[in-house]
Amino acid sequence: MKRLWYLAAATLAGLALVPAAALAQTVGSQPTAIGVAVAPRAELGQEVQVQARLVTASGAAIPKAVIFFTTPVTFLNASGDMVVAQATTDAQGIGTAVFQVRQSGQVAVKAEFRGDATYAPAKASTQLQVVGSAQLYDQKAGVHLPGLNAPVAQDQVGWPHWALSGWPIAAALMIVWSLFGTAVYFLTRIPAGAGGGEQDRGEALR
Amino acid sequence: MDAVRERAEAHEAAGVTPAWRERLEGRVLAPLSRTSRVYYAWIGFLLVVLAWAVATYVHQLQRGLIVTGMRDRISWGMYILTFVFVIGISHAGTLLSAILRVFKARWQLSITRMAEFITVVALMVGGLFPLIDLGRPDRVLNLIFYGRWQSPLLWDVFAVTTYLTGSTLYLYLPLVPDFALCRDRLGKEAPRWKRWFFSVAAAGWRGTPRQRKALERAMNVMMIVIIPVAVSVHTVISWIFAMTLRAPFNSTVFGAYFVAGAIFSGVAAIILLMAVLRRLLHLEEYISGTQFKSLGLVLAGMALVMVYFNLSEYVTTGYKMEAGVPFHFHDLMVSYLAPLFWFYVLGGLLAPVLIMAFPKTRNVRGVVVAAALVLVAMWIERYLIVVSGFRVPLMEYQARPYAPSLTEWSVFGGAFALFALIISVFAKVFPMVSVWEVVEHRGPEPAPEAVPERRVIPVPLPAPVPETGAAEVSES
Repeated sequence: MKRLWYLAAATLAGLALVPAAALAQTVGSQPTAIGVAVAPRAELGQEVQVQARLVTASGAAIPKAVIFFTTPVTFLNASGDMVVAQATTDAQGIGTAVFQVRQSGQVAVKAEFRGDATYAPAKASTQLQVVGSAQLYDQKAGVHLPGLNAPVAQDQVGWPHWALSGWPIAAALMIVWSLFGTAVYFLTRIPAGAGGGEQDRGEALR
Repeated sequence: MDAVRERAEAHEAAGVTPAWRERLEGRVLAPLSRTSRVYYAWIGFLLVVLAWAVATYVHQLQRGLIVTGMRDRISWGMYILTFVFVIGISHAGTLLSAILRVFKARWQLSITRMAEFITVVALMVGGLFPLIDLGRPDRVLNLIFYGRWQSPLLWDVFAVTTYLTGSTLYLYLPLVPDFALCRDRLGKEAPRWKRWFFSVAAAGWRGTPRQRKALERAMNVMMIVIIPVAVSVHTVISWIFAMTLRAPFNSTVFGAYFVAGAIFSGVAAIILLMAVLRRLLHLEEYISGTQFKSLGLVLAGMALVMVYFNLSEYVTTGYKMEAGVPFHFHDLMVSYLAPLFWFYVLGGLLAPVLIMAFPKTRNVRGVVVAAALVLVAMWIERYLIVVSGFRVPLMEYQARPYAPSLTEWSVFGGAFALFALIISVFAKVFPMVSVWEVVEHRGPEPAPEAVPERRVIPVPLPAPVPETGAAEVSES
């Protein structure tokens, strides 16, 4: 039965961008169908566009309806759908939104119309293959040093490159270790000094 | 020969007689050539404790960190706090030794070696704890391969390894003349491997002016450079906390506070080691009440510095009461962690000051008691920093308790057994008092000034004076 609704919705929507569709009906409300489309593949961290089209059972577009786009998330022992974007449908019943993909692998992107007094709710989902392993954690706190923990901005390009990298830390370390080296150098002079000058009362210490 | 004559005259002026020197050398070198059965029993005991700790650690490796008391909400526990505590202990050794050397404080010359040993051994043991804390220690090299400059964890790796290298060098330099002394004095009393070791480690030292100059230069470089390195290391360790987004860690004084805490606990550790080695190696003549009282005063002074830092911390954060701070204060002062917190305040900060304030308790025993209290209190303080920091909920969930598991306690005990084992073995290979420095720069302890005996001077009874007036005349 559900598959029939899917087929009916896809047919009614008549959209190439609708790879999957769902149709829902609530007693007393007008049945609706929704389809959702997204690029099949994206890089982790990339912003992707997602579109959904909401229509009535007869195929008429439903404008000014709010569509929620969600992806599934799991945190500790809890799991559920997280709203990643939302859009309001236009005159053609199409809602468009952009969101950043922050999890890799096969991600189910869902479009959801929650219904109102006139129209019944509807849901649809599609799959998005996310590849890559980019570091997405964006530190908001702390001092951001260009080149050290923040990207070099265009207006800072004139700065010497070494000043904007990890080299200042390396330089401090090199100074300390070269001083250690100086002490070792003096230490190596001890055997050479054994023959020179007088000896303290014939014994090492005395 | 002028330099030699001048030195000899200076020695005589300082009271360094051949007999005194002979006694000093004999006393310090004795443990290097003779070993009692009690020593072997002690080593055996330490090895048993260590073996148990290794077994529990293997269990942890097999089962994962689930065998510890750490969970997702309190993910730093016994291992990290002990790391901070032990690294803290390490700091006082070299730092104190270098500062006192720079200021030419003579009273400390007989204890510098022990202080420097504590640094090196504590760094060797403390450095293990971050590895033990890793669920997958096989990935530790990822820190190098994929390390990021902006991570305080990487700074910590650099700082600790730099400090360990510098401290080892700083320990070795003043040992050179003493290795030469061992080479020349011990002869066949020592086993063959020790004789070979002393010969190599002495680096051909004959005590010539050129050699002395080279050694002096090397030591001067190291004693200057090691002070900022020591300060920076514990500052960096404090940043691991201060740069973590947790309400109790939001402090600008963490660096200085950690350095002060490191010196505080380190001085306490030196005092305890001094007391033990003084008793076991019969060094009472060279490590006297002077050293204990001086270090006791340093301890009391550092306790006041810690009081200042704590006040500064709690007054400023308590005045603002940002999110998380009320929970933290409640937890610390009247609730879950209150017994530990008040022991730290009363036993660790107040008691040492009181002990040193009263002449009756300002003695070797009093200083040792104060040091023991401080050491326990400072471990608790590290516990409070780590656990209380992680107990503040980041979201609407209930704060979780933390209790170290048997595995954690076993590893903790094993670490201290390893610490004692290394010190015990080192005490059999290295002279525990810097003989040449004591001879050349300090000399014998001045005899305490004779205190005049308290005598009650009898007051002569006044002679009866004949009454001149007739104030009262009684007749019977």
